[in-house]
Amino acid sequence: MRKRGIAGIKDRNKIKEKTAEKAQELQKADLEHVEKQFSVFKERLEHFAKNHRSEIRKNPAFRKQFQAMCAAIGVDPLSSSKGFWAEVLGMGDFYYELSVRVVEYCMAYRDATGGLIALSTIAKSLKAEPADIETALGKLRTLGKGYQVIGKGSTAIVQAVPGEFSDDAAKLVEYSSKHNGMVCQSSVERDLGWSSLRFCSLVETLAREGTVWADAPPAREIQYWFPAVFSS
Amino acid sequence: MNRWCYFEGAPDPAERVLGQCTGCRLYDGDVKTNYKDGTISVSTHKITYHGQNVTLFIPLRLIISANSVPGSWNHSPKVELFAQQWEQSLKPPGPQSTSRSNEVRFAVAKKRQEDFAVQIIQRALEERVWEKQARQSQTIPGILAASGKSRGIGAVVKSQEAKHEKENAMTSEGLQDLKKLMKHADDLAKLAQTAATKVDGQDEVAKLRSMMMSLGLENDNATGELGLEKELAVVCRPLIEKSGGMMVMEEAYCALNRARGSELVSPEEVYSAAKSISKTYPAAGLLFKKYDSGIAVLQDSSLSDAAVVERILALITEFPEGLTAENYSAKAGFSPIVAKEHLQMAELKGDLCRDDSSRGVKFFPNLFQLHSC
Repeated sequence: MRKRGIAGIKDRNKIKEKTAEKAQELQKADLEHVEKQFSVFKERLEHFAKNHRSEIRKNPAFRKQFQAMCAAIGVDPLSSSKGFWAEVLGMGDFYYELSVRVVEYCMAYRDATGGLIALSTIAKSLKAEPADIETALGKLRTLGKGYQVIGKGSTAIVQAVPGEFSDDAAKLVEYSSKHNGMVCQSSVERDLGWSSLRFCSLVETLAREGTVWADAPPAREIQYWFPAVFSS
Repeated sequence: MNRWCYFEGAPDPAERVLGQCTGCRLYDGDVKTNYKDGTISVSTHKITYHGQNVTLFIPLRLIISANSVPGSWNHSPKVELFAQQWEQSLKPPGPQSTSRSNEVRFAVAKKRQEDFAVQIIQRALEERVWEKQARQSQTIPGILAASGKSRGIGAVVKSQEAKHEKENAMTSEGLQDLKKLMKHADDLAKLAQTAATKVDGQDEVAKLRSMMMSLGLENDNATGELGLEKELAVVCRPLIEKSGGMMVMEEAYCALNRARGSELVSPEEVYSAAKSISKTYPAAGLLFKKYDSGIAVLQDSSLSDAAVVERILALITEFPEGLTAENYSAKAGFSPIVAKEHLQMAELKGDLCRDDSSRGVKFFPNLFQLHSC
């Protein structure tokens, strides 16, 4: 039964206070518990690092797996240079530096092939694994819509000129990467189901920008070559 | 070319054809042979060429590897097989006793057939159906036969395979450990997120946030790390002044990390330092801006959009035939990307009009606007 009068109010306030105090205590305990768990995890990570650090450094497949697993649990191991992963596994500097080199490479060479560079070309020139380049490019996306990767795997092309590269253009590049960098009107119309207007207006724009080169062999259809793709 | 032998006899009862390509031509090294317009057939036991009234074959056990060579302007797509020499005592008669190359080459008629053929051959090499039989009948030696005496290339391949297996073994142990570690990380992430909903008070929140950051969870890193903003200002200011008053974020990131040399920082950290720099370190006189196109820049705070447009309109009088992004970039000192953004921004504001032709994109002052007052 509720107490009446002022005494009742005072009591209720006291209870409220006590409950609030208790809640704070619990929170504190919660936080302490979390802190403890974090330090346990850090120790575990250090143990893992002792056994596998060199493998992670040498084996790109391992790195790829590692990245994929982190992504699956919603963790970005490279987001903080002071995070567990970067520090304990030593991956931070490796990827951050690779990102720098990728940017510098793209800045130097993108005009040569119309703003597109094959991922494999970057990998070869920087003497790095394509998977690592891909990770580095992914990190760079945080800085703004700079480098887009078109396609996947060994035939991926990097759009190294930040800015508009329409979906259609990306599709055409991807299509060309399966045909050694070349596209022609009839095969695009047939395989991608595009209208001739769609194809022609796109290649005209791309040719103007130097992203494709047109080649008109005698008595045959005009061929459009993506220098970034066929020179990779 | 000396690996091919005439096939006379019956196929093995257990043999299955896995795939075929028509219109193929055999090559001797880089030279075309007269064995053209034939059908290459890959079975579980051998690769056969049938054409020009002959049937030639190479047993799969001699094949070490297969790869495809895509075609180009004047070369048809090809399949290249690296094959051992026949055992002296077992080699049937064949069209050539010498070969220009150790590689067996043939050209396919249509694009992508080379990939198709290689896939089939590789699968057949993996399955090694012929070997299963050989072990039973013990008559024909295989490359990596259980007999143990593998010479030459066979031995090299065997040791390479053993090494590969060892590497894989290491990886699988590492992978097991990694999986367990990730499970722990996952549990921890969930714990942290639950705590985040309950925790209260600035100190606690800060503590939890920093823990979550070390795990790689939180995204908005407002760490209050003034150090990085100062660094950014010191490193980027001179570069910004050299390039007309603004630089693209990727360049800022590179400049910062190059200056550091070691103990590099992540793109996220640079990005959030740049975003907050006008508030946390106003003395630097720098501002962060993100354009509609998604490009982000670090710029001088005095360089407002209006100031940029004014500059462009002043400049454009020097280009009566239209201002291109290249001209603007060269004159004003901005990087070409930034120059393009400026022109587009001015166009969106209605101060410029573009002329898009086969000669490129040129910008003009928007006379429609000027005259409609």
